[in-house]
Amino acid sequence: MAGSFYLHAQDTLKQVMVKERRALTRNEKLESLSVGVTQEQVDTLRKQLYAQQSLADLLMQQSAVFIKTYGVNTLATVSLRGASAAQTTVMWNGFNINNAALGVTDLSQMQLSMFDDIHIQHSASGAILGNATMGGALLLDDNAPQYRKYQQLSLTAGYGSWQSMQGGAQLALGTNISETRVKLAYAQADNDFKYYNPDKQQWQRQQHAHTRGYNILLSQALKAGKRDQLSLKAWLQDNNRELPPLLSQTNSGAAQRTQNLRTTLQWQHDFKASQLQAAAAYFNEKLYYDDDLIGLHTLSPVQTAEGYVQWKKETRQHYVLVGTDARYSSWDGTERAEQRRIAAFLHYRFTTRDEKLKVLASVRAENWATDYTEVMPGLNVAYAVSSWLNVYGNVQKSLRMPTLAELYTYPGGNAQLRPERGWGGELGLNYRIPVTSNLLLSGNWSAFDRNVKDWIVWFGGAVWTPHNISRVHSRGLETNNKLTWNRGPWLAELGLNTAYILSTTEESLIPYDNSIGKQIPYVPRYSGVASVTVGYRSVRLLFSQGYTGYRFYNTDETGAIEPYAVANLHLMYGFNVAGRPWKAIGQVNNLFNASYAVMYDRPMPLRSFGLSLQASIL
Amino acid sequence: MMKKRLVLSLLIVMSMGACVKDKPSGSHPSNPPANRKGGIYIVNEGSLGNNNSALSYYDPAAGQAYEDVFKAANNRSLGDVFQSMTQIDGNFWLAVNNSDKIEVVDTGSLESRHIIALQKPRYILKVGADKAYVTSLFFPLIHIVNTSTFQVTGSITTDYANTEDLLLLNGKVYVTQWDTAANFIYEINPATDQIERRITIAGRASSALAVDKNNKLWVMAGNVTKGKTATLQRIDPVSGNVEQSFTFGAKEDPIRLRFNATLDTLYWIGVDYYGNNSYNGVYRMPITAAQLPAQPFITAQQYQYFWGLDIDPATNIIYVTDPKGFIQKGTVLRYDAAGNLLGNFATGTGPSSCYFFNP
Repeated sequence: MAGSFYLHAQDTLKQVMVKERRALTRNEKLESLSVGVTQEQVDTLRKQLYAQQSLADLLMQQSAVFIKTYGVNTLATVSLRGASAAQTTVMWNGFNINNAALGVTDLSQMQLSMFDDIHIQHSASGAILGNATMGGALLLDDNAPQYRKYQQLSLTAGYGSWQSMQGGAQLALGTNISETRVKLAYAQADNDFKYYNPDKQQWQRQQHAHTRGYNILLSQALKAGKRDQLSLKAWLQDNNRELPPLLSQTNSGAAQRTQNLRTTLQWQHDFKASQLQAAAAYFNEKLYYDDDLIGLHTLSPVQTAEGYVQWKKETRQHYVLVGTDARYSSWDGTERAEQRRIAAFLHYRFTTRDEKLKVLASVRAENWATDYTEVMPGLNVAYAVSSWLNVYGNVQKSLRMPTLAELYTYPGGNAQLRPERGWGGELGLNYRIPVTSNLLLSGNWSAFDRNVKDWIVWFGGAVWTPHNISRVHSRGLETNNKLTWNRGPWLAELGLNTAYILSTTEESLIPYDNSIGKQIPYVPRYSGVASVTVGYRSVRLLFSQGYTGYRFYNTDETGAIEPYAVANLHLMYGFNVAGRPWKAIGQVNNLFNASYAVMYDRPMPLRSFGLSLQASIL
Repeated sequence: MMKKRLVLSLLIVMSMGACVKDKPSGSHPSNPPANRKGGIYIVNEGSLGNNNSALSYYDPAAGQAYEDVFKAANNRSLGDVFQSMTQIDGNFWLAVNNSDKIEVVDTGSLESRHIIALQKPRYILKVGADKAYVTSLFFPLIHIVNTSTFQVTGSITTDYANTEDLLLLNGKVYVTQWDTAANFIYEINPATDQIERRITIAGRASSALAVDKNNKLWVMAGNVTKGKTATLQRIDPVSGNVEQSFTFGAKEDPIRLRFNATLDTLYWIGVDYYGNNSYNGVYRMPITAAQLPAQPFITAQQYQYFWGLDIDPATNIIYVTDPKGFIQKGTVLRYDAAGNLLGNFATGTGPSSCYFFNP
């Protein structure tokens, strides 16, 4: 987030060392990732301000990451460092939740209040996170359980433009041996916003865009004896949305419903000097698509079962994580299709005595039941040059197996598809400079480079088919910068996140392909967000100004969508009611009323407002 | 502190120096010559959902192509999925399928004169003094449009959705029905708008029509992805009998049935979407042939899917469109009657047909 850079190297490890036993559900992959990578963490302020909004809204407004959205409350997917959405994994408590058929996760349906901890992993991480992470990952995690006696109950309600309403509740009950958490969130909106149609040269109101949905998350953790912990989670999502017409259409009868159930069961056993963890997950996802105007009705059900067993040993200088995992997915789309994978992995991290140098060596071998095996090595290094500067780098091999739809959809699926494969690396630095006793300048700069072969491209005529067509070279520079000042009850922060990304087709099998050397579709070369935060006691004001450069909607750069710059304003006031903390939050989205589109032919709304109240009852 | 400032300053300078300018290659709508006579218009479908269809113009005498001439004349996009065009009176009628409209534009200035709103138009045919039929995707009907008032005056209800190609012959309108349940084509009386006959064909899902020099009707049918093998048949329009029929191979997917200038040789495109080259290219067959051609007349390369095929009646030059997968701008390839490549020119996205305009 602009100005919310998370220093991952030494500070994190020290934090970890002092804990005797890290509690269950701590995503072990986060620990492995904490060396030599570029990682952002969403800060507490932004989690509070965006609690009633979606993950897509947060990332669009507060990061330089490109969110490809089809409009308000419509499909929104993430693209990191010039990769496709299918190459960027969304992980929930260590499990990949990208739909096994489509390969993406819709961030517009993910209400922020469902997650305690959100990290954006910019670096490719095939050796650590496995399949489909050559573009990085979005890591959504719950906090570790608090095995202490407590009760918490909070309620939220919000209202905003276009008849948008949100509501939610969170309940937590803790004892010395258990913790129960329930999270509920509901949101709906008509989304009948005004926009200007340049082809018809008139103002119009968005039609057929109503959406409503809810999220329910149940989490139960239990200590079984001194050395064992169990955790069970169940997350239900149900979202109904009407799909509005394009600018070039007169009307739409299309609608979509998604119903997702995701469950996980985890167990951890603490030995004297090591830990054993095992986990299983089951996901059941249904996507209904209906278009009453043309009489089209489809259902796409996907089921995924996944599990892992891993053993971890950690000392002051050595960290070892070794394990195996397996995944099975089935899709009853146009045809019944299945996909199986088994993998083994080993991570070893060495830290010098003075903790200045850390080296993480990883290897992961994946076997896919299409008789494809890939070994992905990785090397991460971080070095503290001085008290204010540390440098890092990594080299990773990554792959992305084709999705079930790419392989088996009919017509058009291509069972001969090979996985996309590539090597990537980056160099980066973190700086933390106390300018004065009240003023701190901190940040991260990273330069990356990645080559992916056998890049899958869908193209065709009456029938679209995916093929391993091209080689894509992605490289660029990302920065996170923050200037923080505080004195007494006052604080102020300036933040600047920037991204410069070139992601170009370098080779292609399409005859006379004019995309060679051109930017791939929907990857802006330039993006960024600047923010100003001012705080006084329990008041916080956050102003953010984002910019996204040209995006191309075809492969030869001849179709471009204009850059856009959108500003947003949030104001939060904390107060007590009966001794309990409450927060009132107001927001103005698109403060300066910019007329823009993220994707071609799909208008975005002008200025809008929202108000919400978060009340702690217990 | 100096050292820290120096490091940061160096980083800023280095990063700014290495950047590429952020600007698009751009699409350049341009007006064709005002004094042009005839020429070739290219229908560019665009890619579905991107509102990037376009009308291009090519001057074969000068060898010059003009991009997006509708936008140049009207200062707005044409719409989503430009399916076909025809000339009616002094106007071009442009069927823009996913924008549910027909744009009526002046043949000289290309300025839009009327917009006719109707569902999912595919192909247009003038069938009477002031009447046109328009086939429709996804709907079981044929629109009836008054060509003087530009109003939709009614429709003809068909048995199934996806009416497709139309042809006027001997005072009757023949219409294909691209549905796997349909094993016929319609014969319609344009004076009464009544379906008078359903002429049975050898296959199912009729899609394309053509008339040879002997006034025989040729019908292409099939839907390979839905398991209906493609067929080609010659029908006597008077008796309604199938005089000769050909069945393609199970995976052979022919589209775009066309005749040469002398109406004695059929051409079509075979498309292989799966990256193989077993049936991929332009095929031709004289009307007297006893069997289908085994080899293409013009071979497409692997991952090259020809999409449009038209033969200039004045010159017999064959125009083949290559949409390059609808993900970038396409190309039109020009071949002589012997299949030799004469040249090519760039078009918009998804070129699907060439319209030869002889005023």
